[in-house]
Formats: sequence, C-alpha cells, structure tokens
Amino acid sequence: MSEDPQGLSLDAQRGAGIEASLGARSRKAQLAHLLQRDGVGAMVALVLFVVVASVLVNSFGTVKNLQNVLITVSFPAIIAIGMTMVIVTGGIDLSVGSVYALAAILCTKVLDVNKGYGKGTILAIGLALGAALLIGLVQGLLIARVGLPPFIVTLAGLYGIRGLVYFVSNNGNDVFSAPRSGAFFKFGTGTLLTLGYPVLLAIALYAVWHVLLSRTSFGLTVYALGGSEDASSLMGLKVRSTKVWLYVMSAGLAGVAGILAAAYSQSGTPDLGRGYELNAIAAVVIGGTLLTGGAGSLIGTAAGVLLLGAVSSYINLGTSLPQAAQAVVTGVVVIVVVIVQRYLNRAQRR
Amino acid sequence: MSDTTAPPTRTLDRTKALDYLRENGVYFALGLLVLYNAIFTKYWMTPANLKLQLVLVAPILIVALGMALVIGTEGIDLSVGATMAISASVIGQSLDAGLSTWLIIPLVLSTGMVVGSIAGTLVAFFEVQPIVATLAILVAGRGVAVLMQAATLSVSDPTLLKFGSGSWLGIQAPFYDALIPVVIIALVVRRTIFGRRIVAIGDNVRASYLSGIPVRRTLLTVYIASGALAAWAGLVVTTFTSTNDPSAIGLGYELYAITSVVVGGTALTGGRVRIIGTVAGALVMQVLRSTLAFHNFSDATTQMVTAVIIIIAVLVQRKRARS
Amino acid sequence: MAAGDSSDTPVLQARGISKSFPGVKALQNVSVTLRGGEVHALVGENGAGKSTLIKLLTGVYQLDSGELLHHGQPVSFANPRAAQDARISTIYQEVNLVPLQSGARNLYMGREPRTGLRLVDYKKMNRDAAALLKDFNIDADPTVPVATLALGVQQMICVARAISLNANVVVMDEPTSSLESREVETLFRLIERLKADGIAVVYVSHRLDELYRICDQVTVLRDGRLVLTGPLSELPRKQLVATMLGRELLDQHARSAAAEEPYAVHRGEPVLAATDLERRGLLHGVSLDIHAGEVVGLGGLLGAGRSETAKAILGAQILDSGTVTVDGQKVRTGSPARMIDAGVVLLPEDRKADGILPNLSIRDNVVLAALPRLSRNGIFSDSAANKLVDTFMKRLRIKAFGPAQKVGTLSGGNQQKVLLARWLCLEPKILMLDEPTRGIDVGAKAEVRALIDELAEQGLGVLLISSETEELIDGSHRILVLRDGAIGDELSGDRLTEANFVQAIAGTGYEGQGGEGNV
Repeated sequence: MSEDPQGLSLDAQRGAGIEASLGARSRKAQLAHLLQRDGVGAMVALVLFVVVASVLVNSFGTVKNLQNVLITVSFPAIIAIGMTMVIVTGGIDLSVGSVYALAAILCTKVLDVNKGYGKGTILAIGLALGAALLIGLVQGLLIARVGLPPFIVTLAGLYGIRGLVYFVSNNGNDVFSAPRSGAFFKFGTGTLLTLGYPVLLAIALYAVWHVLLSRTSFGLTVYALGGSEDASSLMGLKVRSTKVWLYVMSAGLAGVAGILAAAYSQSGTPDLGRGYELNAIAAVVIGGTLLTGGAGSLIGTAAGVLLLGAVSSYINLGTSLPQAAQAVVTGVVVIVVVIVQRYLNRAQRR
Repeated sequence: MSDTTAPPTRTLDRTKALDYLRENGVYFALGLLVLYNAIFTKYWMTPANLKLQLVLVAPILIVALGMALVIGTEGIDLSVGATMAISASVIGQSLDAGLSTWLIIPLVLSTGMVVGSIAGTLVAFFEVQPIVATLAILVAGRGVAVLMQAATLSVSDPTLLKFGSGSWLGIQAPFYDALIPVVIIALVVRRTIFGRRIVAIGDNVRASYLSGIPVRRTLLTVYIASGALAAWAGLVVTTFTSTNDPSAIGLGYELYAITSVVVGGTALTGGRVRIIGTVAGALVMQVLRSTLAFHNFSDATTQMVTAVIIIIAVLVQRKRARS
Repeated sequence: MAAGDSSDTPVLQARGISKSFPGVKALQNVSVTLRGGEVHALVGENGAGKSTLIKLLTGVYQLDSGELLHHGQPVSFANPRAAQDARISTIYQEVNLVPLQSGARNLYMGREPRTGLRLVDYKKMNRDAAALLKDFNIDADPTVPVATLALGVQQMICVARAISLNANVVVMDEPTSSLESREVETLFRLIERLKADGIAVVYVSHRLDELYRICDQVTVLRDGRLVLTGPLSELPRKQLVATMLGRELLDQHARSAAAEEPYAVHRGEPVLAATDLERRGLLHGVSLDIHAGEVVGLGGLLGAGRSETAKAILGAQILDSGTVTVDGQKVRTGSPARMIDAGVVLLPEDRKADGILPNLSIRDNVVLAALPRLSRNGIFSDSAANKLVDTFMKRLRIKAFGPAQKVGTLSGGNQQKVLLARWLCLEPKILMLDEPTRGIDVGAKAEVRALIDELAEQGLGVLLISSETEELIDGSHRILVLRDGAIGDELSGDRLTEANFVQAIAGTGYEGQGGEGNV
C-alpha cells in the first residue's frame, strides 16, 4: 500500500483547496462551478448593475430609492424562499402568486370595518396563514402521496386559488382596506434602523431557512431529493414526507408574504401577485439554482431577487418604458439564464 | 388474504368498466350536462342558445387543438394565452397602419408561428423543460403584447369583423373558424407522417429516436402549430368581441385548453392525441361554464371548478397509465 | 477463516427464498450463506436472478417465501433503511450518490454529525470525511461536488460510505464496471481489509479474473435457481463459465445447421465495416465487418461490450473515435436516422425501453421507421401500410386480434416479432439483433431462429448478440468474443465449438494452442 503515491498527496491537496482538486479539469468547468455555486454570478451581476445604474441615473443610487427597492423586493423575496426549496427538489410551485393574493385578501377582509368583518389582527393573520398552509398541504399530498406531477397540481392551484380570491372579493370588485392604526398597521409599516419591518422579516426568514436548508437533515434531504430521488430513498431518507413539507412551506411562505404586503399597503386587491410565480422562478434560477434540481442556495436567490428589483427600479426611473416591459425583461432573463445554466452545467460535468 | 379467491372477476369487471368510462367518459359527461340543462335550466335548451354554445366554444377549442398536439408529445404549452394577446395587438397595429384583411390574416398567423418557434426551439434544441420555456413566454409575451398595444382598442374594419361576427346558415362565424382547424388537425393526426411521429415521440421518445424519427424537428413543428392556432384563436376572439385589448384577451386560456384536452382523454404522459375527444372536452367545459352562468355563479366559481376538474381528470388518466 | 470462531454462525443466511413478479418467477428456492471474513461471489447471466437476490437481502424487495437469518435470528427487512439499520450495506452498479453534493455530505447523508444545537457540523463532517477517505487511500477532496470527480472516485466514495456505516455485510453489485485498473487495485485492497475486519462481502461481477483474485466462495444462479454454491478455488474457470452458461463441459458436439453448409462468405467487400470503435471505459478498439448473407455472432459475458458495440454502430452510443462504413461509404456516426437510411438497423436488447411503443397499435409500431416510404407528400397511405402490416403479420406469424391491438398487450414473443417486422419492412442490408430471443417462449424462439437463418440465406448481413451459447454457436457463421470491451478472439470454421467458445470467454487459452489468448 505504501507504493501508492496518491495517498500521500491528500493532505497537500486539501491544503490547496478546491483549485487543486479541480486542477485536472478544464478551466471552463472551474469557472462554471464558481459562477453557479452560491450564486456568485448573480451577486457579481447585482453589484455591477447597481453601480452602472447609479452612474446612469442619479435618482437610482439614493438611500431613499434603495430603501424603496428593499421594501418592494421583500414580498417576492419571501415567496422565492419556498420556490428555491421546491426547485432544488426538481419540482415547481406555480400557485404562489395566487396564495399570496389569497392571504392578503383574507386578512384585509377580516380587518376591514366597512366591507369586511372588522375583527382583530390575530384572527386575520391566523386565518390567512391557515388557509395558505392548508392549500400547501393539499398540493403536497397530491404531489407526494398521490403522485401527480407538481406542475399540473400547482397550475390548477394557480387558477383555482385565484378563483377563490375573486370569490371572496365579490367577483374581484371589492378592494379591502385594513385600519391605518393598530398592530397590523405597525407590523407592515414599522421601521428599525431605517429598515422597514417587512425587510427585516424577510432577512430573518432567509437566515432561518438558510440554516434549515444547509444545516439540518431536512435541508440535506431536500438537496438529496433533487440530486437523485432513487439514491435518496436507497440511502434511507424520508422522501415523501419531506416533499409534503416542502409544498406546505412554500404555500406558507407565500401566505406570510401576502399578509405582510397587506399590512404594508393596508389593502388587499384581488389582482395582487399575478405573475409572481415566474418572478420567483426567475430569481431562483438567476441565483444559480438548477431547474433540474439538486443544487442551489438561498444566498443566490436573495441576489436574484435583488437584481430583479434593481432592474425594475431602473426601468421605472431611468426609462420611459411602461410596466409591461418588466414582464418582458423577466421572461427573457429566465430563458437566457436557463440556457446559460445548461451549458455551464455541461462543462461542469465533463 | 382470505378473500383472494372471490374478487378477481369483480375487480376485472370494475377495471373494464373504469377503462370504458375513461375512454368515453367525456361523451357521458357532455350528455349528462346537456340533459341536466334540458331539464333544470330555463331557456337553455333553445336553438339560439345551443348555437351560441357552439360559437362560444370556438376560441378555446382552437387553442386546445394545438395543446392536444403538444401534450401528445408529452409537452405543455402555457404560452397560448399570451400568443392570443400578441395576435390582438398585431391586428390593432395592422388596422392602424391601414393593412387589408388579406394581409392581416397571414401576418397574424406567422406572428403566432414565430412565438411558437421560440418555444419549440427552447424545448427541442436547448432541451429546456416545456413548462419553464412556455411559462417565460406566457409572462414575457403578454408584456410584449401590451407594449405593442394599438392606439384604438376596438376593431371596426368590416371585412375583418366578418371572421368573428359574420354568420352563415344561421350560425356565427367562430363556429366555422373552429370547424376548419378541427378538420385539418384531425386529418393531420390521422393521415400524415407528422401525426404518427407526434404520438410515437410521446409514447416512447427513445424508441422513436432509435427508429430514426427526427425528434427535434417534430417537436419544433408541434410548438409552431400550437402558436399558429393560438394566434388564430386570438383573431377569432378579437373579431367576435370587436376589441383588441391585449391585457384582457386570452387570459387563462392555457388552463381551459389543457383542461379540455385532458378531459377529452389525452393523457398528460403523451403518446395519444384525441381530436374528437378534445372537441368534446372543450364542449364540456363550455357547457359547464354556461350552466354555472345560467345559475348565476360567478366567473370565480367557474375558475375554481375548472381547477378541480383538471385534477380529477389527471387522477383518472393516471390510473390508466398504471394499469 | 479470518474472523475466527464467531463465524460459526453465518452473518446472513438466506434459506429457500423465492420471489415472483407478475408472470415471472424471478427466484426459486435459493439458499445462500454469508460468513464474516469471506468474499462471496454471486454470478449468473442476465435474468439469472442475481439482482433480485441482492434486492431481497437489502430490503428493496420482500420475500414471497423462505427466510432470512441475521446472526442466526430470523429477520425481515421492510425497506432499505431497515437493512441498513441491520448493518447491511449495498454498493450499486450505477453510482448511487447525490451528484451535486460534496463527497462529505454524501458520506454522511442521513447521519450527519451534529453540533450542540442539533445543527449539522460541517467542520467535523469534512474532517471526518477527509480522514475516512485518507484511511481508504481514496484520492479526493471531500468538499467538492461528487459529480466533478472521476467515476472511479465516486464509486470509491460509495464503498467508503457503505463501510463507514459499520456494516457487517457489504453487497457490491459490479463495483468495478466503471473503474480503471488502478482504481480496481485500490478497491481490492479495501476488500482485503474488510475481510480482515471480519465483514462478509457479496461480490457480483462478470470479470472472472477479479472473481478468482478476490473471492472465497461462489454461488451460481441460472434462471432464478441455485445451480452451484461452494468454495471458488476448487472450481476450475472453464467449469464456472460452463455452469453459468448452462452447458455441459464435455459436450463437444459441433455446430449443427450452420456448420453443415460450407462457410460461404467473404464474397468481396463487407457490407458493414466498423473500425476501431473506442469509448472510454466501454469499448477499446473494437473492429468488425459483416458480409452479405453472413451471420456474425458477438459473444462474451455481460458487460463485455456486446450491446455497446451494436449501439455504437447504429449511432446511439457516443464514441470517442471510430468509423463505420456501409458498402464502402463512410456513414457519420452518432445519428441512428442516418444509419437506418444507410440500411443498418438494430433490434434493441431492452424491448420495453428502446423498442416498443406500448400504447400504439401493432400497425403503428411496424410502420414507424417506414413512414416516409409509405407516404406521399407527407400524407400517409393507409392501404399501403395495411398491406405491408398484413404481409408481415402473416410472414412472422404475429398472434394478435388484429393490427389494431396495442403492442403493450402482446406477449414478449409477439412484441419481438413486431419489432422485427418494423425493421424487415425497410429491407435493410444489415440487421443487428441484440438478444432476439430473450424473454420469449420456446415456440417463438425457434421461429425467430429459423427466421434469422432464412434472412441470411436471402443475403442479409446479420450481427447476432446472444447470451444463449447454443443459439449463438448454432446460429452464427463466425463468432467474435468480446472481453472487457475488446475483441478477445474470433472463432470460425472448425474452431467454432462450444468448448472453444467457453474457453474464449474465460480467457484461459486453448488446449494445444497455448500461445493464443491471455493466460
């Protein structure tokens, strides 16, 4: 055994880190790996974009605008947490935008004194969150236990739950508003160290889910599932219950985002959150998460969400393009990123 | 374990009955719905209303035809509603530019084919999952449609309007607008190489490739066809309603089309295209909508019911795939 | 034995176990005894029941009858987890790791070291992983995704994972199929260590050299039954091969039908010539040619590269290098459509995955490849198709209610005939048949074999791959024997006998011809 020179080189190699072990592979693969891992590519793009946009448009780089961007981004950011997890397992959740709207409309309807019930904050939040979690549970069971494809279940969710939103809002004609005082108002509009509560809550949720995903067996199971469902079950991991939990969490987080958005704007409109599913998917893939599953990180998703928010703010401030242009940008970005990912991934696997 | 002797025959009968129901369930459902309305819904079973149903079903049916082809290859096309909206904007712009009807129609169809070819290229050559590729086009496409929105959002060109509001033998134009593609697509599926290749790819893509079938080219063509049909549906809606507001046209059509196809007996797992089933599926959805509307249920309810129906239809289909 | 007196009770014992699947008796009344400190070879051809046995031992399947004893105690494993908890670990043929996760995470998946807060302790995990890999002499950084590591290294990580689960039984299902020779050496050192530690190892492989080097005991399965079990060293190589193939060793009868006619080939240029087909880890410079009217057999054990050769010729197997010419014209590799156009077709080994369209009719399945010929301007001619399908249903005696019956509902033999019809209606120049009679009943087998002879007589070139020795020897004019992805030998004329064939597969050289083959 002593004749094996490879064994001796192990320590030296570990010292040199990733670079040495990848040394034999192509430089392209190294680059691909770096860009993808933890969304380094998305972060670089974010920084570059913010710098360039600040130079081009005076009003972009102001503290006020950046605060604005953070607030607007915080709601879709929370949705993207769940989407990241679901996509890491190779699934997809198209229902998040509708769940977001449902949560917002339910809690404002409970709180609304004129058109709604005028009840308390706890009931409002409890009902909205409960509804979101229940929807997640039903979708999760249909996917994990019954074995239906995630896209069709959540596509039905996308439309069915939007129907429910219209149903509870008098066919979309009612807009509910929450009182401009009290706990709910404070919850959405309060600030700490110049950062709004929604921003702080989003950061806190990212921190919690980052730990959950990277440091617990639940998280590792999520990654394992996406890498190879067969390998995971052969390794004895809990495949099905993890999948159910995922969709419950995804819907729950979308619900939290909806509640928060309602609290921030004190209103619930039936058209909230349209297209948020693609927005979240966009943020997730920009952040380096593979649509085929198995790899990705919340840090990358955070960078992706911020980048989309910054682009949107730039379109508002620096161009005369209408809102619709943002949808075009998002769609095109998703396509480009997915194609780039494919080639990076190929290079990496060689 | 003790009862293993008795059940086999019973379960066999039951699976046979279930199979029969799956094969022909859509026609029963349609019959039941019509029967229900004939008995319980006032003013429903009138010639005027029945004709109206055939007219109202047209745009969804046209979109569903393309969707059936795509689903036959084990794909999905979520971009159809956006393509309809783009078609509406193209019509508006063309009218503003003063183009004649005979230029507008080919222009609209080729716009649809361009949108379809983007989806098809992504799916066939870049191997992007159909759901993601077409979802991106759904969002971006509607954005493009709104950006291209014409100055006037109502259509008044009399020649063009004939395609949506003219009538022949007492039935309005959309009926014929749908009838023609139904016949063409049914013939394509049954009688052409292309039709056979679609189902072959959907049934076993590896075996098809190993048998020398041009898999990529076929997939691309299927998405192009779906795009062209969606654009045609956009034209029908625009000329029927005389409006071309791209933020309203085609909303939710992807779901209605998918539901029609799946309810019509085409499995999401591919390998089968049922055109007549799809026609029946679209009719079921239309009659259901009309029933709910006659009984004063809101659009919201219709949407929820549709969502539930698609889940049930997929559940039923799945059982077949297993047996 | 190494593990001393504790090995009196076997670590794991299967007694008379059976397992059936709808329509197949996969395993019948098989008994195997695994003792600590022994490496137990499990061999048999495809369909012999090896993988069923492994899956029964590791909780993937459950027994129909019989019993499992673990340290003398009856046990039953409801799932892989239960077997793992009983310290039975498995290394599957396909690397079973989560590809984009690091080696360390894969090693400790499901049993990660925790910090005081119940969170995963990456520092400790990476440290432990590095120590473990070093301990096993595995040269890899545990922090990079395993997908970026060489296949061999990935396989070694699987082994390390299995062993680090404190296994007392380690099942290795063809662990060397993706390894380079240097890596095989490392694996063998590992196995030696396992033996010394008193662990029972089940070793599945088709590489005879490896078996004789590393294994103590051998169990041979054939058609789901136990045919032989005992110490390996006492069993001559040739006899092992003969037992696996189900042939009597002394059975020296020469070829029947094909042998009688003179070997009337090499008429001019070959129709098909494949040269230096090369694919890392699979094929090493395989060359072969086929003449019109000639049946060329391709023999060898499972995993020797038979199917890969056929797929490479068709263009469905990626090649690093190599050329294929048809009638002297070079045809670009990598595109089945082109090769089919050139007149080379393949009846694939895996009928379900690569062959049939189960939900389509017999008619649609038969005409699939012939669509362009049956159409004008893209419009398909039903009458032409019906005529063609009728002809072939009659000629091949396909038993069905009619051409509209779904192929998925046909018997295996009839499915195979449908696939044959798909290719024959193209009037190909070269027909490659990969296990044409597998999983079909005796009557259909005879029909298919007769058909092959008939086709060859009509001038078709045939490449025949079969695990059935008799079929191969009786049906071929000459046989190329593959060993480990390279042509090991060619048997023709007088040398085309069963004894020579068995020897060629075993790679032990020939009696009286010591110079040939590798000794």
